[in-house]
Amino acid sequence: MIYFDNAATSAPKPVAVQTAVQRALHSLSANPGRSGHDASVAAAQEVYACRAAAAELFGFSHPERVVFTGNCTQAINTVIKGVVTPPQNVVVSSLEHNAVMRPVERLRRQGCTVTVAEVFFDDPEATVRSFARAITKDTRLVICTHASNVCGLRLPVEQIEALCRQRGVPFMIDAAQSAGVLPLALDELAADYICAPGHKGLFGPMGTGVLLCKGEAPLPLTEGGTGNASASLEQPPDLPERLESGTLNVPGIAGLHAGISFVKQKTPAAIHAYEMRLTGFAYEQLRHMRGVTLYTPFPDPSTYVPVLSFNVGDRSSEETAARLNEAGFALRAGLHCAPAAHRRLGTIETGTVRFSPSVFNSRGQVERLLWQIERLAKE
Amino acid sequence: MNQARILVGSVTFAIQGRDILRAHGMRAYIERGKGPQPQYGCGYSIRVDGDGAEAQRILQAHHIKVLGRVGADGA
Repeated sequence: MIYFDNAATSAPKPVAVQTAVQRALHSLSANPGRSGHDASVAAAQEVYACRAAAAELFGFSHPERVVFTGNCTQAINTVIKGVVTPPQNVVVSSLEHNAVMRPVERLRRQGCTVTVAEVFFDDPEATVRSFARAITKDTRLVICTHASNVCGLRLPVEQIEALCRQRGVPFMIDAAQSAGVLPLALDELAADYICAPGHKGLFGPMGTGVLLCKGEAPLPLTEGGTGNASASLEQPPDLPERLESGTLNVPGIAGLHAGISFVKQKTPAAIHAYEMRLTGFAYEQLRHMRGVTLYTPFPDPSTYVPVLSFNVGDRSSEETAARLNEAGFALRAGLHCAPAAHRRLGTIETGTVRFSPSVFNSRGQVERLLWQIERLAKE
Repeated sequence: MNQARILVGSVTFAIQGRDILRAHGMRAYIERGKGPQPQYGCGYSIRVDGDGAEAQRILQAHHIKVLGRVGADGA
């Protein structure tokens, strides 16, 4: 199987990640932050080392404000539900994933208002103007995906965060598709929250995610044992423990630490450049195939991440992906948990097939995939 | 040699504080309190071989929440 579904989760994981998980299961099987014995302290040190590595990768000088979550969705839910209360307003982009759209829909049913800021493919300034129109005095939170998980388009988060700073509104970036690929320097940004999966571009195990919390600490989604302030029935005020009730996923965090080290060693810029070369090559070949439909302009590295949507002939996206699976290629079809983005692309009825390579893919593998797609297109 | 124990609110602050003090050339170690200390949060503290007051000042300058200090002129 040749894997091109890295926008869902990256595979394979680096050997160092696999080794770190095994080592943690073997040697760090103690509860961090709970006990005074050496094993517990060693586990806590590994957890802290991962916080520090994540903070450094995201240009953030506060490792104690790096919160571990089970995935990016949990980080996003923590911010949305912990910051916004009815009847406040939330502004989201028109390309958001259901990780954002479902919690804001719940808020809408509870009395909040939700405003969608339109995204324009060839005009980032127009996108920023959409956000400027959408933000009002009632807006409590602005949410923007850094890059679409359907088509790879990067949103102008730097301009949007400047806008939020001017208006005094907290800003959250969903870095599900950009973490490990695009640079983000949180110390220099006015963004209040960055939510990222550990298991995609950071190459950690599934079941890991991070919330970088520069702004006010959200109310916790989950309350319980944190290992500190145990005599009090109130959740402790300080991060990260405030948002980390219950035992942490130490093997996952150790693997994530190794994944972040892998990314740092290669550098996000080099990873992005390589993956965009594969994506650009695939786009150019697909563009010239009769019967293949693409939905975006050429994915220029300055405005895209390595995610590409297409369809073949009149086949449903699911049928195309199933045929590619039979031929040994793993790609995801359908709506990618992002119906809002598919409405924007005009593909809500059909869905698309999504190609998302990683540093572990070669050009030869992409050529083999393209040959198979061409065969399908000619049938 | 003077020894001080600086009490902090979480294991995160304990590790972060220890690393900060070591970066300032101080000998610092993580310790767990010997008895129940509900008023001191997590029970983790930073043992410092040296000037406890200076260590506390450094930690507070780095926004480490210090809950108390025992020994070396502390309480």
